Amino acid sequence: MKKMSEEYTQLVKKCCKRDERAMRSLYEEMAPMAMGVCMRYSRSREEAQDLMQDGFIKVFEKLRSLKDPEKVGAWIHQIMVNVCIDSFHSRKELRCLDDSDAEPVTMPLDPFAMEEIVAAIQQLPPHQRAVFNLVEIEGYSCEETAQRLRQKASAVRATLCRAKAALRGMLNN
Amino acid sequence: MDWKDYLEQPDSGLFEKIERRLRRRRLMRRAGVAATVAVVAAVAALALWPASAGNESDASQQVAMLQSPEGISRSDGFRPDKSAVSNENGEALKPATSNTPEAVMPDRKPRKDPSSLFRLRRIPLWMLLMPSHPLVPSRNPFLWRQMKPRSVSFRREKLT
Repeated sequence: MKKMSEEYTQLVKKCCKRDERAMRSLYEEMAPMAMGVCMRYSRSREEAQDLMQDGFIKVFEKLRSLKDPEKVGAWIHQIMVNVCIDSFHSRKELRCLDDSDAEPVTMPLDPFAMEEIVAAIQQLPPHQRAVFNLVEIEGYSCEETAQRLRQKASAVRATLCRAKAALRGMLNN
Repeated sequence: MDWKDYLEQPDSGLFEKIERRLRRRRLMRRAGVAATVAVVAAVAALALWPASAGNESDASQQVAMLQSPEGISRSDGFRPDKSAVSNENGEALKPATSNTPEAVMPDRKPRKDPSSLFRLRRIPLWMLLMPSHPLVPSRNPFLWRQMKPRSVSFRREKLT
């Protein structure tokens, strides 16, 4: 693991010097993870690839500001999430839904394959998709998610309930 | 279920697209910086260029006029009133202060050369853009103001 961290540090240093080989190997190392994140936040594979392009442009331009090169993976993951949320904001796809009476519903996802769940997530409306991803997958609290999505916490809880109900319906079918 | 295990391979050729976009953005940024530097240099040159430099041609004309024996001969059509130097009988009057510049110089302000309003015409554009070029007389644009000819007032003092 330590060797891996040192490798990443070297890779990041070379990328900062615009070494194309290093950039390519960093991309090849991180692209599957980044694509997985973008797939969850987007409606289709094409949209996910567009988001990933934007994310990697940001990654290569801001790589010098990375303080801890060992954690480059987590940093890229966070950038991809931010790019996905920003794209929702720029498209104004997120609608504020205030439904404070709704109760959170727990939903077991284990029996299903990840590809099935991702396909179901992609069919959710954009705001439900974003809330589900941030709360259930990224592990943000409803308050943090509300802050990021510029909504009320109660609206986030309600949206999460709807997203889970919709997913349950899709997966049971 | 750990979502970190969920990996998806992107299409091939995506890195080339990213690389192209990065290169284009870099070029655009450089062009932006170069344009900003050029504008700042032009504005600085305009600001540093002394206001009197625009009247340089008028000043040199005035000096030539003072030094010429036949008096005033100007390209802008100014002619001295010859009746002022002769009496009613047509005899020439010698002005008391004929050797002073004030006697020869008209009171009114000399007409400005319209092209001198645009003072930058004295500095070719390529000099502004390439101040370090060996053909630029002074490589430091801040020293250009020292290149202007000495002021007319100084020469007047010398003459009087």
